[in-house]
Amino acid sequence: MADVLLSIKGLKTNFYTYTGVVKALDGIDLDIYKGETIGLVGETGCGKSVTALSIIRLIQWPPGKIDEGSITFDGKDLLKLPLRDMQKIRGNNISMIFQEPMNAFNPVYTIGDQIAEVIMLHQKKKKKEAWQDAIEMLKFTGIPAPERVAKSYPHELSGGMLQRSMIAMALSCKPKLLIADEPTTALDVTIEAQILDLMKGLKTTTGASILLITHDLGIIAEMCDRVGVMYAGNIVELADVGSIYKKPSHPYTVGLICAIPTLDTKHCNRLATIPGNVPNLIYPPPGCRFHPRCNKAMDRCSKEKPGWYKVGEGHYVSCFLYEGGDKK
Amino acid sequence: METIAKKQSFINRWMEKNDSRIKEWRHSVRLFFKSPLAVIGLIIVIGFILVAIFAPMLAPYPLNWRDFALQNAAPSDAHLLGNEIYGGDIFSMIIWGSRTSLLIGFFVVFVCVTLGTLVGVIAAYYGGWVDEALMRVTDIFLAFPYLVLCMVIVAALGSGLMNVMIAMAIVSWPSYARLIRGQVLSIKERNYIEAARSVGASDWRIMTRHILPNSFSPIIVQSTMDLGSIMITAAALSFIGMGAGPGEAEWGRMITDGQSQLLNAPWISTFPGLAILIVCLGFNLFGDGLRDILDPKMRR
Repeated sequence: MADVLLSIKGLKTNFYTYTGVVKALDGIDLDIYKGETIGLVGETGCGKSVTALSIIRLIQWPPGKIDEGSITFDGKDLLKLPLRDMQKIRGNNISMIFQEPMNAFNPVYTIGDQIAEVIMLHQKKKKKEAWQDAIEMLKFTGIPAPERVAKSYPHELSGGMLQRSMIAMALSCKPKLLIADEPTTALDVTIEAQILDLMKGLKTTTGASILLITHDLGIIAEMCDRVGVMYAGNIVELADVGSIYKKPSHPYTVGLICAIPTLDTKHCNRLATIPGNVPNLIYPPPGCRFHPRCNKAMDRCSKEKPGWYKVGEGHYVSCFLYEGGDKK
Repeated sequence: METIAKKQSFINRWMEKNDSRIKEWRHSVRLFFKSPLAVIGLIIVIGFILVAIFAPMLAPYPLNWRDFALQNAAPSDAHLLGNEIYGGDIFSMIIWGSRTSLLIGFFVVFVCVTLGTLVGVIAAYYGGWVDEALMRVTDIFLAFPYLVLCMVIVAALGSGLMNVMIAMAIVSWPSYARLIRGQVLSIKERNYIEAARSVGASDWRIMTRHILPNSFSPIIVQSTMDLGSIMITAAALSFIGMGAGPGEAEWGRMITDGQSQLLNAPWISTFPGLAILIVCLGFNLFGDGLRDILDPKMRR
C-alpha cells in the first residue's frame, strides 16, 4: 500500500447549541494515501463538510469543537499544533476549495491580489513575483486571458471562472492535500464536467492527494480511487470505487445505490427509497446509528456500535452482518 | 516636450491597467451627480472647508477685532451682517468660526471612528464574553441622554473648546462601535472569510484586510452625516455656556451672545444660526448622496 499522507483516528466533533449537543462526528477513522483521490459521500448533514473543516481546524468555537481524536499529517498531530503553525499549514500544505466560488472571494480585491496574497503569505516573495506566479497559476488552470482575469474583481467573472480561480489559489503553494468540498454543486452541468476534468488533470501534474466531498455518486465514480460512505457522523463503508458499485455491502450503501434512477427502471416501478428520516444528531440512536432505518437490523444493532469488518481487498464495512470477515 | 510625451504614455498605461476600476469610479460619480441634492450638499461642504482654510484671506476683519462704538450695529456696507454685542464684525466672526466648527467636527469624528472601529471589530470578531463586555460598556454610554452626558463631562473637566471636543468624542464613539460591530458580525460569516482562514491568514490579517474594507462604507456615510450633528451639538454646548467663552468667534457662542438682544438686534443670533443650518444641511445631503453610491442595494 502507498504511503499514508494524513491519518484521522477516532475524530469526534460536537456542536454545543442551545437545544443540546449535536454529535456531528462520531469517531471517524480515515487514512488518505499519497496521490490518491478519496471521496466522501453521504446525504446532507451527515458530517462530510464537518470532517473537511475539522482537518484544517476551521470548526468555529462557539459552537463547534473537536473533542476527541487525532489527525496526523507529516508526523504531526494537527489537533495539537499551536494556531500559528496551523496557519502555516493551511493553504500551504493543505488547502481547500469551497462549495460556492461566488462567495469565496473577497469582493473588494481583484482575483490576482487574492491569489498573490496567499503566495506572499507562505513563500517569501515580493508582490511582483507573487503576481507573476498568480497569473502563472491561472494559466495553469486553463483560464483564457489570465492577465485580464487577474485584474478582475470577483463580481465580473462567471461561476466557472471563479471556481477555476479558486482552484488556482488552492494550488498556488503546491499543497500535498487538496480538500474539495462539493466543488461543483453551485455550477451547471457543463461547467461541472470542465472543473472535474481540470481537477483530474491537475492531480496527475501536481501529485497532490484530493479529498473530494460530494453527494453525487456519479462524480465519485468518475473521479475517485477510493470512497467512504458517511451516515449520521460515521463512515459506514470504505472501499475502492469499483467494489462499492459492484458489491455494496452496508445496508445504507445498498439503499443509496438502489435509489439511483436508471433508464431501465419500469415506469410503473417507484424509485427505491430508504424508509425513515435522518436522525436528529442531538439524540442519535444508540448502537449503530443506521439501525432504525435498516431493513436487516438485529437486536444487538441498537445496543453496540459495530466495528470494522473486512469484506474484500481494501473494502471495509461497519456492520454486524459482516462480523464473520477479518477484523481490520 | 519629450517628458510630457513620456508622462502621457505613463498615464495611458496606468489607465489601461486600471480600466475596470476607472469605469466603476466613473459610474459612481455619475450616479452621485445625478442627484441635485447631493450636488448641493457637496458644494456646501467644499465651500465650507475652503472658507475654513482660507479664513484669514476671506475675513474682512482680523480675529478678535472689535469696535465698541459699533455694539449691536445693524448691517451696513462696512459690516455686511452687522456687529455683535461687543462690536465685532459678524461676517468675519462667522468666517473665523467655521475653523472652530471644522476642527471640532473632524476631531470628534476621527476619534469616534478610530475608537469605535477598534472596539466594534474586536467585539464582533472574537464574540463571546469579549463582545458581551464591550457591548455592555457601550450600552452604559448609550443609556445616558447624549447632551446631558456631554454636559456632565464638560462640567467635570472644566469648560473650554478642547474639553468639549473630548466630551463629545467620549459620548459619540459607542454608536460607531455598534455600527461597526453589526457590519462585522454579518461579514465575518461570509464564505470569503472562511476561505481566507483556510489559506492560513491570521486573525489580524483577516480583520484588517478582509473584514474592515468590506464594512467601512456605512461608517463613511455615518461620519459624514455626523459631522453636521456634531457641529450642532458643539454649538449647543457653547450656547449653554460650555465651550467657547463670551465674544469668541464660535457659532453657538455667537447665538448666545445675541440672545439678550434678540428683539432689537436680531441679526446677531440669526446669521450664525443660518450658518449652522446651512453647513449641517450640506453635510446631511452629501451623506445621503454618498450612501446612495456606496450602498449597492439602494442603487437602481
